[in-house]
Amino acid sequence: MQEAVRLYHLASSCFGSVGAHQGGRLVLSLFFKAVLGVQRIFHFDPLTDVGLALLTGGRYILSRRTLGGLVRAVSTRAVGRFVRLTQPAITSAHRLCVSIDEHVVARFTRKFLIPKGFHTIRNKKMRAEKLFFSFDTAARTLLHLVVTPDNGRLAPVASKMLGALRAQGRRRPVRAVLDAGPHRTIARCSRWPTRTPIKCSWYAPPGARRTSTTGRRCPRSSSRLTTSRGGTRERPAKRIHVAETTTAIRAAKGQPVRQVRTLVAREQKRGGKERWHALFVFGGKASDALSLIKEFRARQHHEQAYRILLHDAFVDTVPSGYNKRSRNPDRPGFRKNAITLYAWLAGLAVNTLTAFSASLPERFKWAHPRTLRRWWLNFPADLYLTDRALFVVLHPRWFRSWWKQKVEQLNAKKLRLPWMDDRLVLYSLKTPLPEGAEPSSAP
Amino acid sequence: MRSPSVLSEAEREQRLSEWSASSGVDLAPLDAGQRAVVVAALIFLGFVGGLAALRRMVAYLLAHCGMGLSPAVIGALVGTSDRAVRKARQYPPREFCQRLHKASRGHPPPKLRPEHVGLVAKFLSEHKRCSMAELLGFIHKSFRVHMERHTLRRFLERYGLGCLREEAVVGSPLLSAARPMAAPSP
Repeated sequence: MQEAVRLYHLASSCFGSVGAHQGGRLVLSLFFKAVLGVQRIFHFDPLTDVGLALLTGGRYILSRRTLGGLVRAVSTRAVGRFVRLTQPAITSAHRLCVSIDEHVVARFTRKFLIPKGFHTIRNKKMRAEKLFFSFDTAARTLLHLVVTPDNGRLAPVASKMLGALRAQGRRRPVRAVLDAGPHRTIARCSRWPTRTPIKCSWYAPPGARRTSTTGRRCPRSSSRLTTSRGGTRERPAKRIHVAETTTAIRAAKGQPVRQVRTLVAREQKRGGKERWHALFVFGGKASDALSLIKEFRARQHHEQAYRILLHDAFVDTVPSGYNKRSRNPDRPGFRKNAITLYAWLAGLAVNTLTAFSASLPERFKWAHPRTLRRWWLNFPADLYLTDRALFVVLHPRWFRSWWKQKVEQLNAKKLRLPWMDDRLVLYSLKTPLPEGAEPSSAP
Repeated sequence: MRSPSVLSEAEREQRLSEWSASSGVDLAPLDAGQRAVVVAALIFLGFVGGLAALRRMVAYLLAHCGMGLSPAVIGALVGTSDRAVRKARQYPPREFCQRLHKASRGHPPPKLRPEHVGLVAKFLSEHKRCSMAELLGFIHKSFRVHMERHTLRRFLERYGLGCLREEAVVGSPLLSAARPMAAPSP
């Protein structure tokens, strides 16, 4: 709730062009849409829940037409300012490890000729738009968003993002972990100056031409055996063979060749088959190979965040970036406002749910949003509204002792809702029913 | 930190008369010793500023220093009521010290906590015609809290719970008949 109040204040200051209150309602509607898992803006029409209406800043839920109109009406500059102001603070005390990756949103238009690109999940080339999120692998938080048409490339976007991150992190050492990418991206990375404190590890799959030659060239005898903890408690530790070599990479034709440190990691799959991958390390000569591999593996949380964004925050239902009212369908242009605001609020919702899960009992730490919704968000409550306060009487069926503590903490904060005439929000727990009056089954 | 400068006799008299004029305390019944103590307290309180704990400590000192200052004068000096001075004077030193440490604006912590308010609101909306005695009975039964009528009235006023008893708000749990929200959406 505190996060919602913060977002409302910032939205009111940024989206004055559509009206401060309407801007706040827009942001609250999109934020709680992602938190509660409403699939599309379209589904706002039949919703009549009074609690959701109060959460989103009014007595009635915004209709899909109003919401859709508002999200397209805010200016790109205002959205950029909103994104900057709502970026999470960097919490890593020592060194920041950032993963940057793209998420491709498919577009199914035949009328508008927007650029085509490769959609990895659908495994085909199709019209699409790209969302590039940066992700703090230690805090598991989405840090920043850049939206491009499908011809946007990872290297320039990453370069732009890292510059901003360095400024934000007060020149704290940053390690960037970037995924696969075509060879053009690796070449582009080799152009980055070496004296910068940014260190990059690039993952290249064995299929790629350059890595397959690297892997073949690297003799098995040169590898070092290490073990890594299995994914779950039951699984045995993994045996990884790590070998170090260098790869000659040229940024462009006519440019000098640069020897890039390359780690080749080979591990056994469960079926007994071996798989291997290569890490290109730029500017991290002193780092231990295993620690680099561990850092790289933390990038998987970023992939998981994309999975959550897609299946739980429904980020693929973002409004399109191309201009549907363009007179020239062959070149419709690209408007970043709606797509950026929608996707960024989905990212903020995922961050909030992650932070919320960290405050829960150990069993629910880093839990999936659907689990959180089932256990902690979807249960009945009574609302009482007076001219000074909003009273929320919660009816939780599980973890009453946790809720008791949480209610005391929340009430001590004396949170006021700016969109409800600064009314105080006070939480209470309903008195439990006698034993056996309510079914005790878990959700 | 510099302590206040030493005042001459004329300056002390002037300070005393200024305070008497602003607070409305009559200085005639006070003897020379009492006036000297009042001046000393005034200078010290000016030095202390708004530190509530030290101001309460000064009041306790003046109430027990044997100079015969009335609670009204002490209250006017430290900026509280004579009733508060009389109440604080009753406590033994150890208890006063404990209360000084756990002070919440000089009042004891409220018996009815914020997490109880929602349940009181629920009771009021479900029993619109309930009497004060019934509400007090509910609070005692549910939260084991004894309250006086005027305390309960203040409590209801603080959270605007009175409107929950109105007949106009039948049928909906959202009972704010008092003040509509700023901009209802389409």
